[in-house]
Amino acid sequence: MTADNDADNAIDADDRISAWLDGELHPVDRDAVDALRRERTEWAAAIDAVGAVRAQLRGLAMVEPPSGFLDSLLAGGGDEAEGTERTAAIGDLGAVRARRNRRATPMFVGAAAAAAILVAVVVPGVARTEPALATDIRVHQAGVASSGDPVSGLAPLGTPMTFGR
Amino acid sequence: MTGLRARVRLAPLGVAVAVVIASGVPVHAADRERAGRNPADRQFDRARQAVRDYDFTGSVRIWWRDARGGQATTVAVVARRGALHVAGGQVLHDGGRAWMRTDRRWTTLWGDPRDVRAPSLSPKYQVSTGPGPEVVHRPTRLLTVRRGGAAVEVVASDRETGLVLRRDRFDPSGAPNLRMEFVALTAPQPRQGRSDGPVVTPDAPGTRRVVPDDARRSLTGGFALVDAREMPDRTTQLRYSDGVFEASVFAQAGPIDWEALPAGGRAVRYGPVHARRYRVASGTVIVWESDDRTFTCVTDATAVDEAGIVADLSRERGDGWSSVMRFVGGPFRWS
Repeated sequence: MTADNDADNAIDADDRISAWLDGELHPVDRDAVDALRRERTEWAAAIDAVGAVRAQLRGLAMVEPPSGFLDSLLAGGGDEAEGTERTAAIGDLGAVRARRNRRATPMFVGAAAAAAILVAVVVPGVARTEPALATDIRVHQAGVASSGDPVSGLAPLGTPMTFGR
Repeated sequence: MTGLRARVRLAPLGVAVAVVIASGVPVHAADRERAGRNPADRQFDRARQAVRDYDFTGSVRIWWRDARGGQATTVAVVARRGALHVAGGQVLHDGGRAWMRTDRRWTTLWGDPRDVRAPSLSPKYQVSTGPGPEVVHRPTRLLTVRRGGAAVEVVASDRETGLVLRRDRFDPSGAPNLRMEFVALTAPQPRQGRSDGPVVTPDAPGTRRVVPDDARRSLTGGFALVDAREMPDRTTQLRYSDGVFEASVFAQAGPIDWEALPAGGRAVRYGPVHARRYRVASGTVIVWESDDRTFTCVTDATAVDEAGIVADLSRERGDGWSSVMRFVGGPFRWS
């Protein structure tokens, strides 16, 4: 395996762990990560570590910057520019987001409304299928018993229906 | 645990019956042998006949293997007046039909006993017969089915009645996968009277349909389409067999609801196909989706064979996929 492959695999693993923690994985992939977590100590350790860091970050309280911090930062940036670089002005992040939201909102609302209409009109509802595994097993075994050996065909149906790995 | 399929070929059997009537002697295995049936078919013909002809009471131990190791349970079986009662009467088999008792009602599991176009044993198998061990103090005749020199199934049948007393399945490595064996059995007695089975409802599952001409007839590993059935909820059952192992493929419209599947099982991939695979007492269950269809395969085939089955039926550009889709996608081409 090459170093590039190793790097790709590491990135893929990070993405999967992150998605697994966020509950965003496809059920099949989620089960695969579940299995890796159970069976591979390095996966269990990585998941625990990433989860712990995320929990710590999300648990941190908001901190107010010291008085004059922003002003000093802006002033410092001008001093260090020396004609070659300029530091962008730092504003209040909440205000910036609000401005972006105000600009984006009409466009977003229009697009969302159009998409909703499109979905409602064009795309039919997707009904998910719940396969009746127990029934399928019973019907299969009954068919086997009808054309093969009745005892060995039907005896499994007398056992508790357990779904193992 | 599925079986070596018995193939009732009406024409040869009719000839055999005519010969028997003309000669005035009862039908024996030798007559059927002359009619061209292989040893495995004859052994299971006798097993079905034994359940119809004898009354007996026994305990059957079922053993199977999953990721947790060996699992086992014991089931009571009673043959009375031609019908087989399993697990205290929870399941009833009579004349090729089967019912399950639920809430004081009988639910039909299999309502059409007509036999199917089962294939002969695939050329990949070799069959031998010989004397077997004693099981529940009764001498047996042994049927051994090998693949590549390794036993995949061994069946011990009662010499006197033909009842299957022990049956073993092995995986390709030679490790045992499934075992069914009588651990207690009363001496079989000639049947006293005839039972009246429950009524088969018109919409019962297992109602046989003619296999459409455009359905895929064979799958990797020598599996042939032998039968097509329709369930009340429009689920389609396609039955494939290689003469030893059998696979039922149930197809339903709509993508799968993964959250609704039972706990347990494991996520597996067959090439590009994501699936969930379970081990159960009767073999393996595989569930997957493709092209907005949900498939469930119940089989006792080996892992290699099951991979071939899933791959063949999921091949989007192969004739198998298109034919199955035409078949299950409706409108049905039942005739």
